[in-house]
Amino acid sequence: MTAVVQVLDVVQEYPGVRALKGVSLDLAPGQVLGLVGENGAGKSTLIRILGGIEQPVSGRLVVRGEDRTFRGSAESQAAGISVVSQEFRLVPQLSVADNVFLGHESTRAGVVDAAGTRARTAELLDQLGLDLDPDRPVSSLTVGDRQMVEIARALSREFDVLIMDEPTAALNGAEILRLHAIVRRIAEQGKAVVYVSHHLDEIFEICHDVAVLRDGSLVAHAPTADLDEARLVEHMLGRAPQTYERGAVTEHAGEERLTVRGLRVPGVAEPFDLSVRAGEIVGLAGLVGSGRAELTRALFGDLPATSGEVRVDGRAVRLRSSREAVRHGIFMLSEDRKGEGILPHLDVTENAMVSRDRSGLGLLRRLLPVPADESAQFERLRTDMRIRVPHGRQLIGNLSGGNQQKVLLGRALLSGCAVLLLNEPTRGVDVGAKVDIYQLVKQLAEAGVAVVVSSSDAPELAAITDRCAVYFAGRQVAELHGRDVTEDNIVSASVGQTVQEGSDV
Amino acid sequence: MTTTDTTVADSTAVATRTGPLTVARRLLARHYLVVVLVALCVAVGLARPSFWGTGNLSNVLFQASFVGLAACGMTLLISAGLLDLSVGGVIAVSSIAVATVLPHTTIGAAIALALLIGAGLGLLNGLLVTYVRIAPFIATLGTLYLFLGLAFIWTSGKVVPITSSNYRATTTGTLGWVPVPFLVLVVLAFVTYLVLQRTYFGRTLRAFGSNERAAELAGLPVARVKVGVFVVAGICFALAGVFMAGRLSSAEGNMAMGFEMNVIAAVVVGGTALRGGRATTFGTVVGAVLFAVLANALNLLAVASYWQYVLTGTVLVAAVALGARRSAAAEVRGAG
Amino acid sequence: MSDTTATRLVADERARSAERARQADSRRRVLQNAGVLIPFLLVLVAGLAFVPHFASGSNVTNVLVNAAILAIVGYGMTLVIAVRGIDLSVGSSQALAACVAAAAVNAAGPLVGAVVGVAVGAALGLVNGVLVTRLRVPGFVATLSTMSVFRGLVLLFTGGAPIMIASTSFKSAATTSVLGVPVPFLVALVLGAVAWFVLDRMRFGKHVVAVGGAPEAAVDTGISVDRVLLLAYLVAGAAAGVGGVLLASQLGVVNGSVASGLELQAIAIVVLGGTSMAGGRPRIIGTFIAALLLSMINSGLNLLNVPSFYQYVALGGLLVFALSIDGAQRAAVRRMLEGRHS
Repeated sequence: MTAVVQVLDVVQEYPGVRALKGVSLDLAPGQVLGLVGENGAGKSTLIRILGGIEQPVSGRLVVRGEDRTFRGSAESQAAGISVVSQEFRLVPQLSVADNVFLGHESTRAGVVDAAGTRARTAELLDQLGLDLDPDRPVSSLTVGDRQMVEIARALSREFDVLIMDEPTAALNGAEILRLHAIVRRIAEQGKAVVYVSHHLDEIFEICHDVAVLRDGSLVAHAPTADLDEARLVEHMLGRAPQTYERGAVTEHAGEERLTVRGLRVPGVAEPFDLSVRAGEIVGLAGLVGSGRAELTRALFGDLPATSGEVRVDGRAVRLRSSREAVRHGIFMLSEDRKGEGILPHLDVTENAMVSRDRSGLGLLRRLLPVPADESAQFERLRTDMRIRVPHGRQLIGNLSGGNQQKVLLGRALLSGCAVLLLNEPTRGVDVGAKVDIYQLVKQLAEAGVAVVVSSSDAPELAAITDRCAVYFAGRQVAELHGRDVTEDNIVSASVGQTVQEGSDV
Repeated sequence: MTTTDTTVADSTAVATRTGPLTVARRLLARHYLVVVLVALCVAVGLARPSFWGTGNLSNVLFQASFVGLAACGMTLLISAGLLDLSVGGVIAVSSIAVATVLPHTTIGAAIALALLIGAGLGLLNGLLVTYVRIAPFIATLGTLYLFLGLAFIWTSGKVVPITSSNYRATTTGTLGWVPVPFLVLVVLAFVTYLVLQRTYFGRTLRAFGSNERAAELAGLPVARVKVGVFVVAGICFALAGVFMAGRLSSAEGNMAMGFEMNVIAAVVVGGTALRGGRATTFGTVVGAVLFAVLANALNLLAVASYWQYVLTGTVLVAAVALGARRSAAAEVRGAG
Repeated sequence: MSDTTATRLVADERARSAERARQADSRRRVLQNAGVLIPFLLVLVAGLAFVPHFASGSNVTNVLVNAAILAIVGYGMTLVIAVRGIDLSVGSSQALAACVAAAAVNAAGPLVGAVVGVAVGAALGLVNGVLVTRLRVPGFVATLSTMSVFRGLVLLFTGGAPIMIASTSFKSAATTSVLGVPVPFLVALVLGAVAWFVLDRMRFGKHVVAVGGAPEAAVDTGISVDRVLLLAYLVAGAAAGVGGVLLASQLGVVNGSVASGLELQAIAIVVLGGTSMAGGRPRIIGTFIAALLLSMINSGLNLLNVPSFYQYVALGGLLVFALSIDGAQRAAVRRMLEGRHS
């Protein structure tokens, strides 16, 4: 068996982090290789290296027996590697057809062959079972359609290796089945496919082999037939999947702190109702594009709601901006910690103090930040939250993801909020810090904060939430209580498979 | 052992890896501009000993303080990732105001009026940037011409003389050979430093400059502070105008044409990164003095004054290019 | 059963979001066209009704020639703004190109002079492009600096004295008409058509939209972003050069301070024409119409004997108006996008 692509002992480092610690992989023609691992295990890094977007620190890439160094995605594509990236990489201003052939337009003397492009695109979309006008601007497409266009783009190129990074995250059941059929057909044509997914059932469904990454190392590489789901999870975690012990499920008798009635948010089909009591942790589950991201942002005043009522501690509040939300006792941590969370030029102390509720402080401290007082506050946080940082003047950018998240939780704590909205609280956080963060969230809840956790990580929701609402295509399709909040129930409801009577549409 | 421990170990190591050599290098890197300034002064002094004459030195400091006063406001703006190109317009309008009202009121009232006008024009800029959501440099490019137009209309394109000799004496006085405006600059720079580092206002500015979305989501009063900083900057510009008018004993529409270049150059060469997040007020003052010395040197060496345009632009672009290279070496991680 | 429910839900959601997108799109289009057409028609009608001699032959020629020079510079600026850049140095570039062209005309004849002028503009554009792509200086600081540098160079070149152009054939180029249309205006029309074709139909145009609209996507698809940026600045410089040659021909005498403040006019017409400062949406036709609009305003104010200072105010006001429409558009687009995905 000759490999199309060989990855030999590839190491990649970011400042302070070793993302890949010497990974070797072979890809044979006709093979569908499942690539799995927890968030931050190094999957995306490996894909970016294969796609030519990043260059490894050391190690070799061998394509058809030849050593290659890709200095850009153009060179990787020329070598026959086509990537469907996880983020949407489409140009909203261009039409579907132009997007599909972007970078490899068919031209005559620089003039784009519009008719040919359109026809080829229609053909590709047809293959994918998609009824879309190739002339429509991409800005008018839904998330699912964009994902399909992204796939069409990858297929439009000449390739020997197709890499798909979580292609089904935004697709519905029928679309997923169609995609699986296409993947099989591509493999039958003798091309290699790397398939990254969080849905393990998918991996068993279509992959011949599976490679598991953990903390930047390849920990397992075996035919799928030799594995079962439990073993795979064990490899991913590096230990037997721990059955999170849930405390006895108690009906929280606390005061209702957050009440939402008929909140209409653009992009979400149904008006939104929710009530969270003091001490309760409520989960919002659903895939990308299911509407849950819009809901938390609407509750934080970051996305204007068109109608509806929000009450905090019984008081009706208007949420026209994040600032208003914070003033009314709502605080949110974004899923995009780097882009919307940390203030990279400020030190950890200032990062923790920016949202501090100053109403209870003395006059001086209310008018001016007192350095001594703030460092004392931060010291308290540091010990309470086990933030691992040498001193309070450290810039926050130099911390690991988990420690950054702890500082941000500290920020939320100091804001004195009544309601805390968390989006993907442990994305990009390593296992050790994850447990710490779960504990902190529980502590916050026990202190009387109403917590809402919006996450795509079903085990996470199963582990910490008391109640979980599942969203699909802008509708709440299930609400799980107490013992029903399990990973299985959440996953099956969020891919729209079991639309049960739980959904009172 | 989890990965957390190794990361912490790493970051501790980074924090403690400070041998004497690194300290020296860091000090030099931080104050390299002072070294450049001293070297330049020595070189110019050798070529033209008249440079060290007190008259000439106070000349240089006068020049530096006009740029420096405006640059203090600009430093605040740039720390928040904002910019104001309407400096020349604000200076012209506020100076003309001083010159126009001086025959009728006291010096204090005239200065107060100028500062008020500066605040008003700054407010307009702030509102355009914050609420009409126009990119700062382009909104203020528009208002630059708007303000200049106003200035020309007000004066019908003529020069308005300042007749009050008291005003001239107050604004151009010297303490020893150190001009009063320079002393005002030192005080203003110190106040700017305190505002930036030791107030909630300054923290919000830096937070906003560091990561706009994050600052907004942390519930900081971003809009208010944004408007506020334009107002403060407008006052700084007007203050520069007050002293410039005194020095020129007159005011006119194009008295500060192209001044924004010098001001931005002083701030950027001083070491404040244009993308915001942090700022050095000390650097700004040094930068202002550096450009004043440079201009003075060209003058003493009898080089065509047009070279000043070329030089200022080149130094600015070189400073930014060097800054870009340095920050590419991962000075602040996590900054987009 | 469950599957069909899901499919129905998805289909519903799709239809709704497509509808939303269509609405936002039409809203945007209305704003965009209104942004330039309404003021254009208002000024045209007002000019014809209230300004004496507005429709006189000499004034029309004057308006068309001025508009042509402005539009040509505007095409270059459109390109630069479409790739999320900005060129503040166009005024200084145009001045330098005009003065060097004038000197070259006197030394080596009209044709050489014109070629030299354009080449100077292109070279200056190249300098900007190198600063932006190689030295990683943000576009507006780079061109703010070169605005000063180029202005210094042109003043040094002329020594502050005006340059008279001796060649009458060069001077007459700007004033001759073909079928009643001044030559510069024809040049602007042709260049505009070329620019539109390149941006709308050619590979380079798609790449420009990709680089301005979604730079990460452009990188991922293997487009050389630096090359597109470099070319955009180069073209902007060359366009300023063409404008400079035409200006020299129109004026007959050039000095080091011509075309100051041109950057503001160019940005104003580009934005007024519907090109978004957010990048990815070049509108050549809009730029052309906006150039005519601005030229009409200027000549109208001149004919009414309004002091030239008021033109500053008018221009500043126009720019702010144009940008506030752009801002509203962007807000609309953002709302639209936020309504759909996180």
